[in-house]
Amino acid sequence: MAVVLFSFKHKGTDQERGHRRGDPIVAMRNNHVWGAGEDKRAHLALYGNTDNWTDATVLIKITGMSVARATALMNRDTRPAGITDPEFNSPDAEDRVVQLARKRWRVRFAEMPLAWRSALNNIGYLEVTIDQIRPYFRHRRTDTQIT
Amino acid sequence: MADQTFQIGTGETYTTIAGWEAASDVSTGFWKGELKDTTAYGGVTIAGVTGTPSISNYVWLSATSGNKHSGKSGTTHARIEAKGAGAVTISDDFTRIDDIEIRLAGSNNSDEAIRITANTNDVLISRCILWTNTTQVDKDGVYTGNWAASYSIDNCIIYGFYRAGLNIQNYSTTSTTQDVNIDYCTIVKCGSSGETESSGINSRTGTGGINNIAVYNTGCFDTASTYDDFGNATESGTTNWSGTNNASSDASLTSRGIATNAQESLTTSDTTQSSGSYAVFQSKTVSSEDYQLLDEAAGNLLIGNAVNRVGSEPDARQDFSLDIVGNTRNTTGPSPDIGASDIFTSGADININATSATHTQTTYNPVISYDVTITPTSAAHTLATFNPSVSYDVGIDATSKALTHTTFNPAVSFDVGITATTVVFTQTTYNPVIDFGADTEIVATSASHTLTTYNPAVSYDLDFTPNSQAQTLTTFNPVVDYTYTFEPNSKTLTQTTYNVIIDYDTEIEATSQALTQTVYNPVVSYDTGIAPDAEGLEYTLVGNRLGYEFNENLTHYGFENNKVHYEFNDEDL
Repeated sequence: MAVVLFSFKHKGTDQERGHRRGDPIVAMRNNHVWGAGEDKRAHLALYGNTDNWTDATVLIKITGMSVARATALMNRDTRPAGITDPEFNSPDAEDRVVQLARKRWRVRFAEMPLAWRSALNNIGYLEVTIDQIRPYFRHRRTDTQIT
Repeated sequence: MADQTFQIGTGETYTTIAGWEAASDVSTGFWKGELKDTTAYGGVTIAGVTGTPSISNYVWLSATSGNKHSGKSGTTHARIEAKGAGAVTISDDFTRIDDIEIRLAGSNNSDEAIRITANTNDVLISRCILWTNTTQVDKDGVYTGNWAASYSIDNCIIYGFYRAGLNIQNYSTTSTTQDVNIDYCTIVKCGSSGETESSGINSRTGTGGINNIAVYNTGCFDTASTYDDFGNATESGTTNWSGTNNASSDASLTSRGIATNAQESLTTSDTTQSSGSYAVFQSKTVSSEDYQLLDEAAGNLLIGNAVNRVGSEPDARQDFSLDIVGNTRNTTGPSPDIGASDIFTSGADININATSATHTQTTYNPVISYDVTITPTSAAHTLATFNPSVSYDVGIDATSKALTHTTFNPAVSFDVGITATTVVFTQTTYNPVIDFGADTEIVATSASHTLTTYNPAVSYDLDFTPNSQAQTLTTFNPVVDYTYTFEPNSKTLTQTTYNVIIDYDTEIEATSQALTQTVYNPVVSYDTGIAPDAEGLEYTLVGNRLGYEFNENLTHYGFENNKVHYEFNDEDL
């Protein structure tokens, strides 16, 4: 199963290039030991407080999702230059694309149950199944759920 | 918060490049990540940093000091292996990448080791190895497409990209400008596929597009035969080439109008070339390429043909005094070398004028041979107290570190002519041979033979091999030949009462240890050839935790359990 690092806040001012809240950043296997800059629990254990915690990221362990599957959900959202079909995401031979967003899929924290959001706010970590998170893990533009 | 540096890897604050990048914040200084592990890292996109990048506030990806590459690709240092349209994609201004190997490992077309995206400026790439062994089309080392962008690159080795090492593909028809500064790069076997835009460095401009390419001390070699190492593949706009002291395996520097001090039509090689026109590297062998310079043989025309650019760095963060692995380039005397690596040489003669008694070169271990002429300046012949003036020629072949004269045991031979100037010559312990015969001889009847009234003239050759540092004639047993016919067969000749004039030649052969010259004040002059790879030459003589902005989608917030909670109308989140 995968543990996925998600962006927990909009980053920077570049709407197309910077991570937006809910963007998946990187996925690692369940046994990966995250650092104190990535895992709020590790930060708390190391420093005893959250004074310098950035709240930039949270971790969600998703039972039933492989690292490869999670990584596949991290493609940028693009369309070729001059092509208006928003579903056309494949670059041409020269990768002449317009990047619409840094990530095509993202989770909707605001719609999650309060207990989930509390866990993410307090310790920056949540454990769910793929079926549980599917309704909140959706395409940026079409709003379809992950399969 | 000022500059911030993090190691990236197992057990560190950030265990992934992506996690480090996601937290990047240059509000008060640079945000530096150093790759610590020797396992390959995945690719990264550097974009949307918090804060406004500038020449002093920027994202900086590098390697820990002990994990930098040694000038060739490998698996024991910091490296990124990834595929995609940019193994490393850069979208933040002033992003800096140095001292890492980036391998494009993908199998897709149109991938690059580094992609600099639209309107991203002032990127700096230094001391990196960019390479691939994939054979798909449209592979570039560094790519800038149909958009405005600018970057500087120095001291990089780039090889194996099917289309171009650096593809400045400004094919836009909207009058975009790309500014690229290239210094001390070695680009080999790029553009080898022979596809359109094949080049070591390719410039392409669409109508209205402008490329300003300043390239110095850079070599491009072995592009496909019908394409240029320095190429204008397709151009309907304008490319302004500038620069000097470059090298190529064809004549394209002349074609581009940047042939000043150029070395053109070189043949690449990985064996010593004592003559001819070559670019000689460590290894061209596939899968073990090493495009650092092999040697300084006369046929390697990359040696000494660059121009010193220290002080002319286009980006203030660059340092042109160092090569790809951080070795110091020749910046005085001989010229530096073309390309990413530099073989430092001392070059011309070095003269040392000793101003103190002891001459110590603590960083070299030369083999020394020299001639010594000693002229006595006082009567007493005692080497321990003698104060000669010494001049000698020294040839030094540096093979390792230290030259120390303090513990040397020489073998000495010299001729001595002695003219007695005082009366007494006493041989109190000698037993002569006594002979009675036709001639009257001296008959010695006692052990002691004292010649109290004789003033001998003494002349003899003296050979001795001292076994210790002090050379004192009072303990020496010479063979003496003088007007009286007798031969000593025991004991010691003591010359404590003679004032001698001494003239001798001395040859010293270093057999072990060091020669102590603590009472000498030599003037030293010698020619030095210092071999490559010497380590150095020192001549002592010469959150806000809720810091993000809520927008109109914020529906409500409040406090619960000492924590702040907030809710959004998430139509846009």
